[in-house]
Amino acid sequence: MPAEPEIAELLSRVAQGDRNALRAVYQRQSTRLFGIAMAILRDRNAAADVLQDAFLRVWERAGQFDPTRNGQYWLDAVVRYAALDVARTRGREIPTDDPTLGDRPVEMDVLDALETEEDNAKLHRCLQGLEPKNRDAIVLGFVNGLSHPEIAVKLDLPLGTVKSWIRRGLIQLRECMEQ
Amino acid sequence: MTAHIPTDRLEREALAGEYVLGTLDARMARDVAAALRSDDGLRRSVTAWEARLAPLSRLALPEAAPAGLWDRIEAGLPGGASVALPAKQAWFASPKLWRAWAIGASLAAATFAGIAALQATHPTVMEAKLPVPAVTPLTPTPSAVAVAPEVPVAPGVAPSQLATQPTPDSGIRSAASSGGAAVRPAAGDAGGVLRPSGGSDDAPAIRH
Repeated sequence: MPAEPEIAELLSRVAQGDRNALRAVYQRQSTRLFGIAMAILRDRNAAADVLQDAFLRVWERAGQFDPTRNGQYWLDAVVRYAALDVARTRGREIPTDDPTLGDRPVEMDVLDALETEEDNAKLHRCLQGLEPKNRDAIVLGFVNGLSHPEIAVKLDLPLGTVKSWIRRGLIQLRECMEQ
Repeated sequence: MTAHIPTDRLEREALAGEYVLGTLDARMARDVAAALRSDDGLRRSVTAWEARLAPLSRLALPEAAPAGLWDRIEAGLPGGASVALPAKQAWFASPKLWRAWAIGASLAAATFAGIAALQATHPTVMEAKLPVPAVTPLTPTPSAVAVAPEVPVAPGVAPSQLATQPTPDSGIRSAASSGGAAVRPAAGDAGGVLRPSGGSDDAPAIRH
């Protein structure tokens, strides 16, 4: 495959007002980014609104992106925070009774998507070291944007238990990843 | 405003992690976002958590955005959809060009104003040169922008670990289809959802 501009390079061009570069970012990343918004909002209209909002932010702030950093993670975070913003304001309107959501524990073979990347292997290994419910709660929070109470319902645990498990899980994760 | 921010080191670490995780309620998230303005240590913690957890985003199942969304996005950009000049008209004679220039000039001003406004609501996102943006969606932190130092990558997270390698969409899809909680089936107009070139743009942004 011919070499294509990296996302970071495209973002530098976006920062100079190049709409074609923004379109190129969209063409390459929209499927992934829409997936990130959908995982949190579970509503195509809301996810589309979030993606539009996120691309406006990208257009306006691409100049603040450090091109030596990871452009994809930057885009992911823009979309994820925008979706979380909406999720928080919409609150309970977001259905969490989606049968595909959290009723099964997060299997490690799902997390294997992380293991394939050298840079993610550590996260994978450290997640593996967590109690399954700690791990589930962290993934449900990050990927699906569930709040503490929603995770408590999903995992059928008292709210206080969920909060402390997530905290414990995060602290363990951090310790593991810093080793 | 920052009354809820703990002083204990581990508590603060956990809070920063929860903030990035997104599990805090709106009020607490707002408190953290506000504290990030003045609390360098907390901001570093948030940045480090973003770097640690960023790869989890790939557990979301890719799904095609609705057709026509790009057109909407482009129309919503300052200046709207791009205007093509009439082919036969000399460029300097084009009223559209001058109008576009005028619009562009005022939009440039508007954009700066817009950026300032956006920063007021979404403070640290993209301001600091971070491995990933410390996005604080809820509360104004314009001051954090100006002073945000270059934050070193978190200990234990070497820059090389932050570099993304291409994950073929198919990899995500197969992981997704294996039935975890974190993924959902693509729906709607998702035919041809996954571009075969999906990974090519994901080459490492960080090369040291």
